[in-house]
Amino acid sequence: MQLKYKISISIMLISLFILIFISIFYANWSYKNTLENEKNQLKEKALESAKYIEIELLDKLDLLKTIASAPIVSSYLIQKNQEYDKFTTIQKEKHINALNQKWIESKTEKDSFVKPYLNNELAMFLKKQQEIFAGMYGELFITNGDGAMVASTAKLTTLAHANKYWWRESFANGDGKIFFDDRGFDSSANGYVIGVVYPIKKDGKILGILKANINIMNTLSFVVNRYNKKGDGYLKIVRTKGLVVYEEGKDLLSSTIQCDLLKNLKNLEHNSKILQNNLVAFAPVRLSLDSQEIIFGGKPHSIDHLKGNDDEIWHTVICFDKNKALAQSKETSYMIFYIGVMLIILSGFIAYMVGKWISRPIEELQATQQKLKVQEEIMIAQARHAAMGEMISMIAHQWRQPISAISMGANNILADIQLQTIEENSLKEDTQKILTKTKELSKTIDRFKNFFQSEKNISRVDIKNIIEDSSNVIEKSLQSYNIKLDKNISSQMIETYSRELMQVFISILKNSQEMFLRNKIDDAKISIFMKKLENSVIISFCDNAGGIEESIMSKIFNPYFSTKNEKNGVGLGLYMSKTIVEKHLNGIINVKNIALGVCVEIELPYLLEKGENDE
Amino acid sequence: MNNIQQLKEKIRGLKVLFVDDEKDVREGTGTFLNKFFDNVEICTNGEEALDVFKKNNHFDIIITDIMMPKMDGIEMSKAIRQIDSKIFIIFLTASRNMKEYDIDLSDITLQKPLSFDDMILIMEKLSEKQW
Repeated sequence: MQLKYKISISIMLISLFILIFISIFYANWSYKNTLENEKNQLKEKALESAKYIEIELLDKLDLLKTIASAPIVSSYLIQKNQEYDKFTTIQKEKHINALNQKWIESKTEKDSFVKPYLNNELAMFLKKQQEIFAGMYGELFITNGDGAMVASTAKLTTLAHANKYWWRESFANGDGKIFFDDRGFDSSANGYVIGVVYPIKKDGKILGILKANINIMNTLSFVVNRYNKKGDGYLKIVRTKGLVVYEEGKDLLSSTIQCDLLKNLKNLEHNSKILQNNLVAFAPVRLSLDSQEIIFGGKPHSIDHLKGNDDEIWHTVICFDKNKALAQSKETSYMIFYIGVMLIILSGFIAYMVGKWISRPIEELQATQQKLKVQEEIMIAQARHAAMGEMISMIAHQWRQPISAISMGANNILADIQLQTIEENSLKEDTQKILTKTKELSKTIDRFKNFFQSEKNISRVDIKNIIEDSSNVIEKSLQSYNIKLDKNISSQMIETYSRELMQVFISILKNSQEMFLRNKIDDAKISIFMKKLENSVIISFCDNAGGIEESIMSKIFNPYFSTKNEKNGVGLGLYMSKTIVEKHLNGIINVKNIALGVCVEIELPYLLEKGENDE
Repeated sequence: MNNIQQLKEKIRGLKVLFVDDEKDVREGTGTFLNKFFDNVEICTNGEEALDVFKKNNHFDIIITDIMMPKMDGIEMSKAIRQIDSKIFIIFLTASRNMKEYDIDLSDITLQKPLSFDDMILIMEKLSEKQW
């Protein structure tokens, strides 16, 4: 696969990994965060609704307080209480019971006994208030300090109220408390009625008790509907023991909430939690909790109502489907994923372009390296061919003499035969000479035959022998050009690639030979010296062939650089020698001019670490 | 008497100077020449041959190698020609490229190794020559 594709795919995979990681992280974070936020928001909304109900009820109370503070109320009650002052406690009870009995027996409001209670000046005042706040009040009535009704807007069932729970709660043994009587559904008012009971005091003494039955259907439905319209779940108003006071679309007091929540309501908690795949928030209506003067409660059953309050308060409960609560978060997660996919496609394109851009210089470098490698292989092959050509030339020199001798031996035998002078001894002598020379030819071949084989292993050899073998190969060629070879060498064992080193030595000797021929030097001589150092040996090949021009000295190791005429050299001899000595044999090669010629110095280590040739 | 024997009789009186630096060639060729000529002088290089020629200027034929130490065959032949311009010279060489040598085209060159037929052909030419 091309590098640019590798790079672009890598970038895409990294992008995809990052996207998946971000998506999972965001989805997880968003789920927890959204859930927590929703829970907190619902909790606040539950409290807000609870407070609203509390304020509404307190508003109703404030109106009642206004009515109670009217001078006519206290003056009328003082007057009525004075009528009872003449009775003892027992007489009072008897009197009130008698009146109550008479009241019960009176069937209509037109009855002469009932009329004074409904038409006295206080009753008229109350009726006036009822007219002013039309639809709010069911009945408005006032009892004196002993529970006997003194004025009412309508004929109630009884006249005596001192034994009733709401009266006693409000009278509070003479202390006077405001009592919210949670009566439940009132069929006569066709709504939910709260009785607000207010003690009317003067100088710390209770003059009477004012009670107003207030239809709060509108308040309840307003609170619930207002919330439900927002779409963040649905709101219920619930009593502490689980009976639902008001829920949109259901009858009043007809259902109960989940048991899981009752403990939280009982503990008067303001909180939120997850119940059966719903977020549920709840808050108490703290009307009676934050005040010593107000009591909220009632009685489950009495003569005029059912499903009344059983020492409970109200709570607002909001239920919200968890999936709906998380819908926005999910939608955002999906949006991030879709955007991510688009970004991946975009990043893929960018990655391709970037990959193409990044990989271009690398690919160019690879191509250059490949080209250089191919060129080096070509050069090695060319050098090998040149070396082979030189070797064949050397073999020709070595063979020339024995072949001539063999040829002349045969010629002599033929001549003896033709001249009829053949003798056994001379025939034997000529034949023996032919055989001897044939063996010489064979030896020469043996000397050369391994030279071209590749060398895989380092061998421990005497460098003197390598020099001798090298000079043997080229000796005849040198002799034919009257070039003397002077060897000042001794034994020294080294680790090396012996045949490669031999190739270097022969190449150097061959270069000297070429220089001698070109410069036509008399008394041509090549001297070989050896200098042993602590860890290495230096072998110097010095000739008197005229030296190398200083201007070209820096180029002599370059490939294809040759001072020879074109037909004789390819310019790879010294290049290959340097490559072999420095890259394969871990040595150093230098060329320097001396007085009459040139010295090639090769320094080789005694020990050679395993190199690339051994791989 | 066969043809070769007749040829030998015709040329045996000619005086030959043979020059070659290679011992085996010198010995083998010298032995061959001695089978046909009664008077063969053998030298190891051009310098020695020129000295011998100068001391004893009565040779009919010079057979010489070209590449030799001290003085090569070409240089020697030029020196001898200055003494005897008409001397018959046969060059022997292992080289396949004769153009690289400055050889008079009238001279005969033979390639080493010498074949029996080449030698006989040369001797037939010698026998035909008017001495």
